[in-house]
Amino acid sequence: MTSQHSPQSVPTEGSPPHAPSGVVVRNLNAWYGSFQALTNISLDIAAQRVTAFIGPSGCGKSTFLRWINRMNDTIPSARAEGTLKLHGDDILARSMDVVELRRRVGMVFQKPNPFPKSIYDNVAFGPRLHRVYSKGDLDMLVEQSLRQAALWNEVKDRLRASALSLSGGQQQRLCIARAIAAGPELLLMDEPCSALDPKSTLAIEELIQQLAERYTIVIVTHNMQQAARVSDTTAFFFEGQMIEWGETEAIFTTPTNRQTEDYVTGRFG
Amino acid sequence: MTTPNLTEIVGRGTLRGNARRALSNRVFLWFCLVGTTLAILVLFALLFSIFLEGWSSVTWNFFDNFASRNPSASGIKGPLWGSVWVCAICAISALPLGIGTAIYLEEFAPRNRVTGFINLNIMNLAGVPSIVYGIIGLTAFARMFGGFGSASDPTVLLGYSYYDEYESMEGEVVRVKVSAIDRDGDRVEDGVQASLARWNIWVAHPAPRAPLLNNTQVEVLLDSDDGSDEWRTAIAHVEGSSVERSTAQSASFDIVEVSAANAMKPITQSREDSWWSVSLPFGSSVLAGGLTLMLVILPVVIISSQEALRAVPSSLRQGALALGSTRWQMVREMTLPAAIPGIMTGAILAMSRAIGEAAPLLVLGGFLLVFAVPENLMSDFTVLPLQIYNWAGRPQTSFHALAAGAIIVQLVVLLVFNGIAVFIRQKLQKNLS
Repeated sequence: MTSQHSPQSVPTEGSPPHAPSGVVVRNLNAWYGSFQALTNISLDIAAQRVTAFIGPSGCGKSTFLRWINRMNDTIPSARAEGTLKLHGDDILARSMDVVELRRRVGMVFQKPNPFPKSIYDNVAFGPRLHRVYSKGDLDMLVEQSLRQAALWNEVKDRLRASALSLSGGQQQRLCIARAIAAGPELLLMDEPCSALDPKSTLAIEELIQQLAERYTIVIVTHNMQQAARVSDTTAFFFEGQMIEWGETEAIFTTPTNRQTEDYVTGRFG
Repeated sequence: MTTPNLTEIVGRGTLRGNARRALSNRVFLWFCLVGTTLAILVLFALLFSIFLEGWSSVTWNFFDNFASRNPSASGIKGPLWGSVWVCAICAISALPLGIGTAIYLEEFAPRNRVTGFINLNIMNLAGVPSIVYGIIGLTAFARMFGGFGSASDPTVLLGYSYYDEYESMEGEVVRVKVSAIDRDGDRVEDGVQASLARWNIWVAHPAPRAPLLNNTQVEVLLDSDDGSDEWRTAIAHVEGSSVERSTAQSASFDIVEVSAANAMKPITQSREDSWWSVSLPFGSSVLAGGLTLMLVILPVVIISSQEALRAVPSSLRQGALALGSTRWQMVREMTLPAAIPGIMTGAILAMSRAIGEAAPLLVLGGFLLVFAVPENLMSDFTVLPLQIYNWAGRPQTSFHALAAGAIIVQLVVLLVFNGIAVFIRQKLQKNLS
């Protein structure tokens, strides 16, 4: 951790982590048992941009997010049809290796879920799953990940302390550091600030904007101001359908759809 | 009719008497106190009478003597070591199986009717009286459904060494290891003698320069014409009592006529066992006893492990999976380390149950009087509860004191086990979120 090398100078074996990727979605339908949770979703998630999904509870935005890294595979009754492509690779294909997919698509959950391990081991968890690193490389990887997650200065002196000793906001930034340490092309964030206080929320929002320079980010949020602040593109979901999507500014100022307008102006939801 | 406002409705309820409420509170408190006191009194009465009767028996000799007809010379060496062996076998077999089953059911198995049915049955099995497991153990382990003959004449023998014993001219018994002896006592492979004609023989042991003594055991290298060679033990048979060997190690020793052509017949054949010797069926051996106790505690181990795994928050599993763990990486790196204190606690409590079991081992045919420490998996055994049962059932009161002494030992062992379980629960249980 004393080394001043940047991660780019780390000699890596095999393919380097991919560049940020976008996702192309065409006619995606998803079900839980016989309940249709998503109907005919089509949109593009642009690379190196922040895309926000907004909509009332139960509108399907989290379901959609969890199909992008196939976390819904853990729910037996969940199934999906349609086209969902990450950098040209068919996410829903049977042949898709979900383990590799999830390395390429990082995820941050609603409630911070640090592992009951040290701060260091939390960040090193993902990298260790996929590759074998030398001690020095791993130290650098952990440091760079924590720096990118704007947490390094707060934890550099106690990397061996339990991650559970951190505050809620720090824990969520640790989860972000953990997600980016595995070298993802895309970061999914499922209401990452809903369990945090306003100050921590602000820190995460600033972080999201910094991270957008390196990663493609998809964020689900209930907070419309947050969507307006951090995202470049916004998609509005309602009752399993995507009502409207476009430039965030356009969605919030000149929505073409009546429901979108009602929602973003706070008339319902 | 106008709807009354909220405060009005609140005020409508009839007051409960405060005095009556306080009284029922006190009555219930007393009820609980009496219950607790009774339980503690009974426990102390039991402990007191046991210690009063048995404390004098617990001496050093008590641990170092086998059971005997003479009470003053009796001890628990046999059952103590029997318990150690049986419980060790039980732990080694039950814990990996039980924890593995729990991991499969909790982390891998699909949540469907079949899994539900299996879970239901495991819960039922935990409630089956242990004597039933004794019957299963008797059929499945001790007798093996009659498929391998009887325990006194087992069909399959593994881990035994077989020897032909020769008597030398000096009257010593020389043993030569042979590959195996079949059930009728015939040598399965006839060692050196049969095929001697085809081999050149090189003597390497005793030391090459030493004189070769008649009728001694030697190591010979059999070098066949087809290029294969192997080391065998053989008996040297030479004219006179000894012969000077050639200094050239590779010289052909025509002097070594290894008890050729029936020159010597073994006087007897013997069998030696090792610690891992196993014969089928198992009979009333420590192995059968340990495996029977495994059956008794397996459901308990599975259920407690499942509960420990269930207590691990699913957010940790989701987090690990989202980083690209395989299911097994998730279990190994996340779920299992988080659940291990709970699993260990359950395992130790299950083991303390195994230590106290008498009924299944009695059915299995555990011996009541054993005068040796178990030496291998096929040894006869008894355990502490069986010894207590035996002594307590005798008419002489001096044996009752011995039973009480054995109970004290048993209680101390149980106390230690439960203490460890409490310690693990208190100290190692980590905060998980």
